[in-house]
Amino acid sequence: MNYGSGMIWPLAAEYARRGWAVRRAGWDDNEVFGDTGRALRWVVYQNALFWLLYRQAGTGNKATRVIRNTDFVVEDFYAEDWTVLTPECLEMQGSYGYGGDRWQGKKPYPRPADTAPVIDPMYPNAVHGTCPVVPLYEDIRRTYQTPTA
Amino acid sequence: MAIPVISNTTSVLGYRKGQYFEYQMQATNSPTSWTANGLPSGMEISSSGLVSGAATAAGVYLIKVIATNGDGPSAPLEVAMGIEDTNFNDGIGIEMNIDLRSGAVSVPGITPSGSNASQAVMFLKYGDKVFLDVGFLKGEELQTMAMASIVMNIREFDGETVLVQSNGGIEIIGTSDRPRYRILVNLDTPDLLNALANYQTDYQTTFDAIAEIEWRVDYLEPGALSSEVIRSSKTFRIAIDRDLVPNP
Repeated sequence: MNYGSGMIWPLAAEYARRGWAVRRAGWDDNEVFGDTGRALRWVVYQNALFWLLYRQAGTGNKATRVIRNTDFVVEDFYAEDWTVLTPECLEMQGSYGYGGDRWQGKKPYPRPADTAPVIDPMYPNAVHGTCPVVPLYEDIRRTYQTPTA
Repeated sequence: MAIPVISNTTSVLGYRKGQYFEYQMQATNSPTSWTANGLPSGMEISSSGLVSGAATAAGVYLIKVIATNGDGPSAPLEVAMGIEDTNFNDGIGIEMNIDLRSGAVSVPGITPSGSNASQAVMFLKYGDKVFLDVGFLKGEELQTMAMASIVMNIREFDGETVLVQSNGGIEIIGTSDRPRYRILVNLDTPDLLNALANYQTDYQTTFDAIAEIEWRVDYLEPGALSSEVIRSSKTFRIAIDRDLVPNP
């Protein structure tokens, strides 16, 4: 088990408060710069504020600002792919969204009972690992699984 | 004049249930009133745009803020707000809260609602090994302390005989800024067995014992050796099942 990836935001925020930069696994450079090797955006905590570190579209220049309401939306609160790792490290680790219930005592945000599942279509079975060994259905015990934004 | 335009706000990322929060919204063109739809219960927005209060329920909230002046309402500004729960996701222990101001003990989910927390009651049986996750609260906030030991004493109502005493060992769980202190209590002492056996014929009843929690905190006085501060909770009731007492 490698901690620090597949985190929910309440846990990622604790890492941020202790000096780690955190980001969502999907925040890489692919969309803007066609470069998946580097992270596009990070969240850091300084002077009691959460900041966004990012690269400006077009120039690629680094920039920072206090996180705005437009930077962090509902889906980011529910996400379970928060990580302290760079895209390269995540790739090498061979796991995505792994973490399951190992949230070190933190609870995910409760959802309304009538919420439809929101699962990342790229990795819908991420809680079981990137390339999981699939058990017989008779042996499957229902694991804790919440929809992943 | 034109309608107001609300400035972007910071995101609301790190607040917990019961934690007070306030933020002054800003807008151009001198709004005369503000409204916010979707605020968690316990929070409100004033006519001057001050969002304040302490949310009473965890969750993710999408708030739409509108500022209005004589020319009409602004476009809504959406702010997502995440309110964390104050409890922990660990099903092993029984959560127990001690109010540092009053010493009152409450057991979430068992303690009757209302402010009379001294009526906390736990239902246990002989032989139980119970993890208690003790949290020390000021208001709704868990407090961090330099905890040296926590001891739970269980006594008879009508006497001072200590039936069960935990060994003082603690394990910190949760996070360092909002910890709970886990202690292990073994309800398997001969004294407890004797006390329960005295009433063996009283089936389907419970034996009422009283309990208290005593904790010691390391205290460092400037220029002096460290010492300990000892405090204890108010007493509370433990109902121990008589039906499950083995024959002595």
